[in-house]
Amino acid sequence: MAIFRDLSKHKNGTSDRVAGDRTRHRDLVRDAIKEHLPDIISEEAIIGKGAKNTVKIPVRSLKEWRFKYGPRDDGVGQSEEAQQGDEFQIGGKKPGKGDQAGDQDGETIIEIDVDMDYLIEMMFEDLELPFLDEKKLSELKVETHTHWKGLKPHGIEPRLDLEASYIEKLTRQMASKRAKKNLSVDVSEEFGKLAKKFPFRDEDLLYHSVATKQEPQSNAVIFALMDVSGSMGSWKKYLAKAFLFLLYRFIKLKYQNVEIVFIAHHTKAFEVPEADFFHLGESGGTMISSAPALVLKLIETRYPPHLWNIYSVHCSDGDNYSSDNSHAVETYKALLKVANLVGFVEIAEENSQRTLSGAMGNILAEAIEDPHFQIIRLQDKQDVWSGFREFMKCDKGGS
Amino acid sequence: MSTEQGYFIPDLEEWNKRIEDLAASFGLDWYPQEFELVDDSMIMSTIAYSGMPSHYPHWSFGKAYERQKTLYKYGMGGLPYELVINSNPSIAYLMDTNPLALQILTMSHVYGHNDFFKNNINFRKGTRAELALEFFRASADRVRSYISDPSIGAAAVEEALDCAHALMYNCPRVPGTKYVSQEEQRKELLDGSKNVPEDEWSHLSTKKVPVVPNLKRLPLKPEESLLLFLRDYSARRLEEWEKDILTIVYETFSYFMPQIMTKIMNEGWASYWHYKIGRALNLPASLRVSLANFHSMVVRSAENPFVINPYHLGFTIWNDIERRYENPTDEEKEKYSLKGGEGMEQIFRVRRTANDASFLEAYLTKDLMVELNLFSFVADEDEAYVDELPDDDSWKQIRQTLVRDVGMGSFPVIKVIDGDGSGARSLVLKHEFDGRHLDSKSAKKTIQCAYHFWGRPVSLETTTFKRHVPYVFSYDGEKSSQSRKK
Repeated sequence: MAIFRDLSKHKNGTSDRVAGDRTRHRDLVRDAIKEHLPDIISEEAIIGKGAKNTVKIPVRSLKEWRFKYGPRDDGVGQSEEAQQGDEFQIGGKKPGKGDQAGDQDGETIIEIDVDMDYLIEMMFEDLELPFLDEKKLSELKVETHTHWKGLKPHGIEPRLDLEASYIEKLTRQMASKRAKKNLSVDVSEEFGKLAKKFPFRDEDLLYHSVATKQEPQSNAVIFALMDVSGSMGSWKKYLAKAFLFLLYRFIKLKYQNVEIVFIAHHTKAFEVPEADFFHLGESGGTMISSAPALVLKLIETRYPPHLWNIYSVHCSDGDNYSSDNSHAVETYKALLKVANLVGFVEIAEENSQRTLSGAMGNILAEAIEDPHFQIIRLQDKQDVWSGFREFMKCDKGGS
Repeated sequence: MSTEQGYFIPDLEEWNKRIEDLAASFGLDWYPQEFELVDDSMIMSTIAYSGMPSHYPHWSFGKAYERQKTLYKYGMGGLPYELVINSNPSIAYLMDTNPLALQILTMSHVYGHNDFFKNNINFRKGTRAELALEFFRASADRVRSYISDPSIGAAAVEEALDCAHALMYNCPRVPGTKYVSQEEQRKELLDGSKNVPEDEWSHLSTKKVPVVPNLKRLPLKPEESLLLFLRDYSARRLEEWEKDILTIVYETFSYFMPQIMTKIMNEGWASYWHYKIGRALNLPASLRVSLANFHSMVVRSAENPFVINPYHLGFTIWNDIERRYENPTDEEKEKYSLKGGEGMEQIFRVRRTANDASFLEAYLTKDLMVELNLFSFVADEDEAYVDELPDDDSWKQIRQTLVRDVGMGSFPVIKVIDGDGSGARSLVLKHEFDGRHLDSKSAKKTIQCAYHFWGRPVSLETTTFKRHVPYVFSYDGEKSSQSRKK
């Protein structure tokens, strides 16, 4: 009679056995993952609210070497349909068909789960915010975290240290016992009842004292500007979102005290909450100047330049009301006076070859010569990643 | 557990009792069996470690897991519904989401495997089932201790394991072959040459010059156990932990080798019995139909024409042996000199003595090959062309090609032929060329793995794929080179 054991509920046991080896394997295929980054970040699923925490990445599995035979010259197969002279592709499919999740010898493509955070970290490991002004550091100290630092006799209940308090009480009790022995008067009658009812006296109680650590931090604010006018179709909006999403994840990863302000515009600009930013619809005409104008206003009211490193990234297809063009240039020039870095990301139509000569990008490029002003052009999915890296490395003389 | 599936452990135990009774009545003979119910992620991690409850860690098992998971996701490899290990007691795993009919089939299948592990000569000679679990546990503990030893560390252990894994397939192919050290071999030779046995005709011979073996050769004769030779005769000093790793990997592979050699037989045997027991159980209609469906999924031919399903092949052959030896047709009586009435006897005999190569050689008949739709192909890189279908002229050749490729046949035979190098202590390996060429890239990489343990230049003699010219790959510690063999 066999023995049966039900382990299906004990998930923490056997199922995690392989976690260590999977992690090690994932680290070893890290380079392979890096190769795939441009594709991964273009995947729609990682953008916006529905962003998952793990991403499946197809990678070529790491080779395990051994002495083995080269491609075979011959062999034996099995198939009902085989006729003499029939041609097959090794790998199973008839010629012409592609090869997915293939299982050819040594060339296995496997999908591994990679934590989104690990991925982001890998993507951004060699990047920093450009033109970050170190001078601002000394002016602003930021409270990074609080920590317990010693005990004190007063405080709030959540910070009560019971153990220390109890020791205090015992010490007092033992001391009073000794004292009572030396007293001629028996005070236990009077104090006895009280002592039993209220074992702890106020003077016994000890509380954690809390101190906050202060560290100098760079202070930065990023203005993410998105053109949501009618000409921004879903493809262009998608590229814009991808770029801004990268920026967003990057900032969150690297910097603790960075604020991101989301601004959408058509003919008018308006601030929107983060949750909505990546899901806006589009309509209306385009007045590109409206966006940087709003930025300038917010800088005036909320983000004084002497305290904040200011960045602004504007994604648009560059298709502006021509009457607005000169105003846009002026507004941008004004913005450049106070900002560390201003980016204009011009998004072209999918598969189009032309650069719009009347488009904003060109106009701005001609009018403004300033290393702190960067124009990035996006056309394909691959451009998102390479454009982003270029943008991030612009103060290092290009990647 | 499994309320959704409509059964609990007591139900499984009841079915198990009936299965065991039937198995015993059929003559199966097994180690005490234990079943563990697990979920799909647990079973995938167990598969990654070949079913062993303990195993030393290595990234290749993480990769195996990922691969299994990927195949599973793309529906290209159903999760093995059965996983059972060669140990005493034996442990088998059941997926908790499987329906009752599948659990019944699985349990029956497991007893087939258990019986095979206990009785087939390759396992009896090559493994010690009662020590298996302990061996894996102790090996895992020692490897972990090396990893956490600050003077060794994870990186060094990983490098050693990477290299040992690369070389572990090069070992004796007869299970249970005892490793004999060079010193012992020398002693045997010396004793042998002293005691030349006198036979009744020896007084007639005029010359009685004993052949003095060259005792200075290292190795005395071509050595098959590559890992152990590196361990014992390396040109550089190996730390104790390195030697231990070589031993562990060698013995781990030795343990699994019989399974590699009998995959077709073993899966066929277990399928044969799950089918027979399944029928004998007299299941109610719904269970019977489900079980029949699962059975046909298990033994159907693979979609990929270059993959032959071992379950299908094995199952078909066992049934044929039983039928032929039990009720041979007149033609078969003539052809194979059969008496009849020996079906059971014969299959039990074969399960005790054969391996895949001998199994196919003896029992894969031309008729079976036709029934199974086998064909031979020729290939050039990625493309293959159907060459021959089995007929009176071609079938033997087709079978020979298949026999060549099964079991350990898919691994090239590489032996150590020189570890002395006239004092320079370079290592020479030789590939026994059988018409199949080595893959150059992996050969070069693997030679480097040998270098890692050997410590002095390593070379491999083989034959190139063009013009069949003797060729040598070498690695001197810094760079690889190749040249014609002089």
